[in-house]
Formats: sequence, structure tokens, C-alpha cells
Amino acid sequence: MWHFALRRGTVLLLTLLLVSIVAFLIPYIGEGDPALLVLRARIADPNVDQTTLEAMRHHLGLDRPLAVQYFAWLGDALRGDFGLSFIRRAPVADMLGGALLVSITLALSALLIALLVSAPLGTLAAMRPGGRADTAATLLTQTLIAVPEYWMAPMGILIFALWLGWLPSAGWDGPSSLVLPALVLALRPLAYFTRIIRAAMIDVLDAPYITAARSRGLGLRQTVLRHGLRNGAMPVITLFALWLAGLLGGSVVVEVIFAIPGMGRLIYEAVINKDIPVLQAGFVAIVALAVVINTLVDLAYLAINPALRHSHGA
Amino acid sequence: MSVVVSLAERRATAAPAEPLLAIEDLHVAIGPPGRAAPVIEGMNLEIRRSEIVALVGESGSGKSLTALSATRLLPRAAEITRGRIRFDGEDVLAMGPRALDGLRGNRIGMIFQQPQAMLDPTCRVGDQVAESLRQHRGLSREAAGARVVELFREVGIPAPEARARDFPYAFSGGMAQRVMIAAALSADPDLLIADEPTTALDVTVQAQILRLLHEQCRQRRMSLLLISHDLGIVAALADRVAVMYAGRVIEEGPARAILSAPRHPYTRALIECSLLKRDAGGRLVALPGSAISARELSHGCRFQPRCAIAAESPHNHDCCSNEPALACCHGSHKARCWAVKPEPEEAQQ
Amino acid sequence: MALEAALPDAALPSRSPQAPRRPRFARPHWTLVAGALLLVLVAVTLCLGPTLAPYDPTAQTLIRRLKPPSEAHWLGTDHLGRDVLSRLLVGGHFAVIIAAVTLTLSAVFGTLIGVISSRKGGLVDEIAMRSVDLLISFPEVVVAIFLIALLGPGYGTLILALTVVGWTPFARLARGLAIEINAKPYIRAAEILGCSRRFIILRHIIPNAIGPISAMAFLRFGHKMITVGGLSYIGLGIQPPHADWAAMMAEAQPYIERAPLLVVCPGLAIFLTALSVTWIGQGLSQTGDKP
Repeated sequence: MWHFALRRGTVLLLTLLLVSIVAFLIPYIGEGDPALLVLRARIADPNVDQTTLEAMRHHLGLDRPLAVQYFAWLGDALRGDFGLSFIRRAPVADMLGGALLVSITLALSALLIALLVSAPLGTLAAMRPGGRADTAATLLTQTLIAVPEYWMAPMGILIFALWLGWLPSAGWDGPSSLVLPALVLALRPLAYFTRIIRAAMIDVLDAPYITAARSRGLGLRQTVLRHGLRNGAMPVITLFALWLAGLLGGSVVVEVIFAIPGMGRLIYEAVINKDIPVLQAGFVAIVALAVVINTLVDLAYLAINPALRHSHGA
Repeated sequence: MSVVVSLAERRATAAPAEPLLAIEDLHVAIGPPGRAAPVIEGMNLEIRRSEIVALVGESGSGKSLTALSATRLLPRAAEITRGRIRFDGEDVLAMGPRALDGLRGNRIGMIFQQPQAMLDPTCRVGDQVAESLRQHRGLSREAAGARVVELFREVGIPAPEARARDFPYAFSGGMAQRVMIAAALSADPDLLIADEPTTALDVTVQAQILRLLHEQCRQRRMSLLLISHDLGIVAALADRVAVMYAGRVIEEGPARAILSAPRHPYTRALIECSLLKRDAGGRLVALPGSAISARELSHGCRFQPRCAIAAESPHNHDCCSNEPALACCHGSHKARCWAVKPEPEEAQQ
Repeated sequence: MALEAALPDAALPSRSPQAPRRPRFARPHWTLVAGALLLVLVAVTLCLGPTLAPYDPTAQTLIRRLKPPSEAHWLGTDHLGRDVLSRLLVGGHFAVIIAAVTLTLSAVFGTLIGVISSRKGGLVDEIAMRSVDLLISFPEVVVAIFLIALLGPGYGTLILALTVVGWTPFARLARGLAIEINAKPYIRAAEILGCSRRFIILRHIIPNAIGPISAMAFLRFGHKMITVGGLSYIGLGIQPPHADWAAMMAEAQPYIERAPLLVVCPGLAIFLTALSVTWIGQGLSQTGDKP
């Protein structure tokens, strides 16, 4: 098993290295001269003379060889210094940290809501496949998958904020700001979770070891709770983790609509304002998170199902 | 062990005439509601105390479903549509969930065909066996653990303490089946139902498992319902045999009688095919056609399409139009065939 | 296997392809029929949209801003006095086309990679599948935003951005299918009979693989459309003056209290289109499964 963990760990590191190189190159690939962009961000004057440009270029260290620049950047990044934002002149690392916190809160809330609703729904559907609960669940999931979040969000705002006045229509102060965006974000994962829980529970309920346990006199509910859950949880955990990784930047539209200072909106604004340090750091952060979460899920699998420890890396 | 011995004694002195398990006119159907197809139709079976009964038949004949019906563990798509099942005088079909839990494991134990699939892969084996002990006997964790080790020793698992802490993937087929037997026997049931217990095992391991089953049944004076398509196993263990075809019993009687002088053409064909009486260098016999599912049934004897006798006999008209009843041909030996007539004493052996 | 359904495109039921082939005249699942009908409706509307539109979708009449539905304007007018119905009728083109192109490219590219990967095996397979594992968890929107940051907004960029991540589920599916189908007895039999590799691929492998792959393509279409819409909503997708449902919704956001229809109608359009394709995908994967 450790063999496997080591291999995954190496892959992880290599990936992160690759990602850092790509992130570093962002300003060089994009249109425009980085020095010019920085100058434009700082000085209002659209006309920039050569000397100032050269000075800025030297100041930013852009006249050094690319490799040197990369390692300097990497060195700083590893120490948590991603430079200063072009727009706000604040340390990017701080901005990132704050935005990440917001996004994680939002994502976790949405996913927990989705899980809480989908678990009983999926289980109910699985108990009698083809029955009424199942048909209703299927219809619901199909509908939810097709609903755009930028439709639900304004509708939600219209109904709950503007007409009923129960919730704020935008902003991020206090728990009531979390409700509407989390609910809107929860709709799609709800559909997918219900599907996977249903499939997992059907596998579990028909599993031979459930019948065998029941034949020894253990009640249905007890058997499912004790044996079914652990075996059926694995696909659900995977999906949950994948969605978490996906929502951390992917909730950008909802964040923009509700004016929530999360990762998605941070990156979006960086794109609009050509705020390159933020873009670089954001790219690294999101990719790194996705990869780390993936690796953790794989390791969680091994922890839950001891049988897998034998087949991996053997 | 003293518990086992006293229970065995009790069983020995219990009224022998009253059947332990009585299945009457069982009908089971499978499929979505409203379109369910019958799989078992009019099944009758009796098992007495301390008796080993073998239920024989091809795949699809309904043997496993009969077994699962006895403890009402049918798969979700299947349903008992008619019939009565009585265990030790109690009506199984009328039992509620708690009563059923008390029945299963405690009074009726079961073992199945794929022992490794029957164990939760994420749970230690000893814990799983101990579950029913703690459930039915209320033992503490330590006491149950000790009993599990004892049980493992009884069923012949070497190094029982260590093995009890292993996960299912660490067990071979034969060892896993021993674990299942230990689990099934842990609450000392009156009846053990073994559904194809050795089909998935190597031949050498098969013999060991069968010996184990035989031992345990005799020691505990426990009844055994052995379900198999393998007549060799049946010959080795059974007191009585019931042969199933297309959802019904078509012959039943003492094992020796059935195996040496089968009356129903299907049983005869089974025995011939089974190499039990093979001459060296002879041709292998095959039964033409394949087992029909209950959906394709028509009037008349269900075996008629594949029956050699029906094909060339004057009874053919009856065979096509009416289902024969289970008629007694000698003592307790019964067969469901128009060609069978009740015979006088000298027919035996 | 339940695990296969654990991928984010978990709309596929957990079944492997039927062997050897779907019954030719299997009764289609009701979702297939309903989806197809709905899609036809949408397609007709999109094709005939410009002709059916009562007004020029880009004509602004500031006098008649934000009018409620009336005889003249069945769905009212937007904040620039443009007829909502007309804009609705032409607003789906780009999103649908971009989604379709993206999906075709993703499906083709992904299938190729998946099949080649399964044939080569070894290091190639390992690298390919690790990349897939990595890319599959990326949020599509974010990758798209990054690429748009680098290359500037535009349809080419949009398609590229969405394909970069979009091919991965197809690769995984194709690889799994290739391995599974290749191991089937009838392939073995065909090889023994001496059929050429190309014949086997064309006659056996592709027909059996097409089903699940197209089912997946349809199922993801709705999601792609919505993603394109999302990008358009925040201004990085389809650019004005092209009418687009999502962009319409974004523009109407400030006026939502006064004229909710401006947001409801385009959203409904996107929803119905996505629903129809999802139904088709669902129906494709379930036809022949149940009675």
C-alpha cells in the first residue's frame, strides 16, 4: 500500500511542477508585454515612453533569462509570496487565501445540502426500482441537470430577496448571504448525487453479503447501516470530492451574480483587469487543489476497502 | 460444547413424526408487478428433524428460490404468491420482521454458493461471525470472540485466533465456506439450508466440506436441506431426495431408492448423465433440450418435450394434455409420471 | 459497476454495452421520444427563427423600453426596446452550434485517445489515463476563463477552451469500452475465423461502441450549452451584437423586478433545449434495457 502512496505522491509532485511552469508562462503567452501591462495598471497615462518602459522592465527583472525568472518566481511562490496584485497592490497570497476560504465555505454548504437531500431520495428510489419514488427521483434529476444556475439565481433573488424580502440579494455578510447561493449551487450536484446514491444502494441491497447477513438474523436496516453503507459510500465519496474540486473555481457565475468574493470571481476579475500575478497564483491554486483532492480520494478508497490494499502496487 | 450436546439430546427425543419444515403448495413468481412469471408452482417439501434431505435439479428449476422462501429472503423481484410454510409448527409467512430475525440464523441457518461474496469485504471475518452471536445470544464482545475462535476450530480452520482477524479477501474458497458454516452454525439452528455449498469449490475441497457438513449435522442432530445439481454429493450425504423440474417436485423418496431405481424419466436421465454408473469407455449421455422456464409451460406434463418415454409410448396423449399428480409407487417413493404405476413389494431394489 | 457511474458525468446508468448488439427494433424509451420531439421543436425554431421573428432582433426603439406583453409584442420589449420574442427566436444559434462543435471534437478526440491508449497499453496508457484523471476534475469554466484570458474572447477560443477539458470523459469511456468489447467472445470468434482487424473494427467494435458514446455526447450537450451560456453571461463568451439567451439574461438582470419575463423566457429556452438533449441521451442509453 505504501508503494502505491509513494507512486501517487510522486505523480502529484511532478504534476504540481508542471502546473507551476505553465502558470509562470501565462504572462508570456498572453497578448501584451508584461512590463507594459504593469505600467498601464499603475499609471493613468496611456502614452508610455521607452525609458520608463525599460526601467519598469528592469525593475520587474524581465531582462533576465527566462529560467532565472522562473526559479525566482518559484522560490517566492514556495514561500507564499505570489507578488502584488496589479490592481490592488495587495499581496496576492492574502487575496487568494481570503477568496479560497469563501469559496470553500460556499462549496461545502452547497454540497452538504445536496447530500442531505439526495441521500434519502436516492435510497428511497433504490428500494423499489421502477416504483413511484424512483420515477419521481429520475424526473427530478433529469430536470435539475438541465437547469442553468444563472437562471435559478436571478429567479431566487427575485422571489426570495425582492418579493419576499427574506434574504439578501447579494453580498457576503453573515450567514443569510450564504443561503441563496448555496441553494442554487446545490441543485446540480443534487441530481448527480441522487443518481449515484441510487446506483450504489441498488448494488448494496442486492449484494450477496447483505442476504447472507440477513440469513443470520440481522435486521434489514441494521445490516444496511453497518455493511451496506461502508461499501456503498465509496462512489459517493468520490463524487463528493470531485464536485468539491470542481466548485472551487467553477462557481464563478454564481459568485458574480451574488457578488461573493470567492475564487471564481477573483479569477474572473483578474482576467478582465489583466491582473497577471493573481491569474498565475489562481491557476496554481485551483489545479493544485484539484490534484490534491483527487489523490486524497484515492487514498481514502484504500483506507475504506482493505481488499484494495492488496491489489494495488502488488 | 455442552450447549450443543443438550440441544442435540433434545432434538433426539423430540416428536419425530412432526416435520420440522413443511412447505405446502408453494408458488413463487418473479418479475415486475403485474407481469410476474411463475417460477415455482405447487412445490411441496417436508423435512423432518435430524434428517438430511437433498433437493436436486437443473439450473432454473427453482431450487434456490425454494430455499430462500423458507426464510423469506427472496430477492426483491420475487414474490410468494401462494402456499404455506410452517417451521416447527409456526406459520413463517405470517411472521413479522422481528419474528423472522429470530428465526433466521437462530433456528434456520443458511450457507450459499459463493462464500467469498457472502462476506462484507470491508469487515473482519471474526466480527461478521460474531454478529449473530451477539444478536441471538446477547454475548459480550469478548465472549462472542472466544466463541468464534471455538467455532473456527470446530469447522477446521487452522490458527483460528489469527484468522478471525483477517479480511475476507485473505480466504480461499474452501476456507471461506468454512467460515460461512461457522457463522451459520454459531447460533445452533435446528435446520441448516445449504444452497450449492460446494459447486464453486475444487473437488478435493468439496469432499472436505461435505464431510464437515455431515459431521456437524450428526453431532448436533441438525436437519440439513442440501440443494445441488450434483448427484454425487447427494449420494454421499442424503437420507431423502426430492427432484425438481420446472418449479415442481417430480420425484421424491429415500435416497437409495431414488438413486438405484429412479422412476421418473428425468431422474433416470439425470443419473445417467451424472456418471454415477459409468462404464469405462462408454459414451457420455446428454439430455436433449434444455430446462424450460416456467413461462413456457403449457398443459400436460412439463417434462414431456424432452421425455423419451412420452415420445414413443401409448401414454402420449395423457402426457400432452394432463399434468400427472405425484403418485406413490412404493412406500414413501413418489413420482410424477403417467408411466409410473403403484407397484407391489417386490419392486424395491 | 457503480464506480463507473461515480464520474461527474454520472448520468450514464451503470451498465455495460449489450452484447452483441442492441435489438434492432427495440422499443425506444419514452425519454428518447419525448426528447427527440422537443429537440425537433427547438431545432425548427432555431432554423426558422429569423424568418418567424416579427421584428428585427437588433432594432432598438428606446421609446418602447421594457413594455409588458401586448398585441404588438407578445413577450414585451427589453431595456433597449428590442422585441423579446424576436431575440428569443434567434438567441440560441451560437450556443447550440458551439456546444455541438465542441462535443463532436471532444468525442472524436477523446475516443481516439481512449482507443489508442487501450491498444498501446503500457506507459502510453498510463500517461494518458493519468492526464485524464487530472483534467477530469478541473472546472471547465475556470479552464475556459484562463484560455480566454490568454487568447482573448472569440468563438475559436471558446471551442478550444471547452474541448481542452471536454475530451476526457470520452477518453475514459472509449478506453473502457474498447477493453470490454475486445474481450468479448464474438471478437475472439471473428479473429479465429480470420476476419481482418479493420473488418472487426468497422463491423463489430464501432457499432457496439457508438451507442454509449453518442449517449454520453447527448447527455453532456446540455451541460456544455449551459457552460457556454455561463461564460456569455459574464461577458466572456458570445459577444454582442450577436443575440444569445444567456447574454440576454445578464443584460436584463438590473430590470428583473420590473420585467421578470426578460429573465424567465431565455432561461426557459436554455432549460428546454438542455432538457431535450438530456432526454435523448438518457433514452439512448436506456433503449433496449427495460421493457
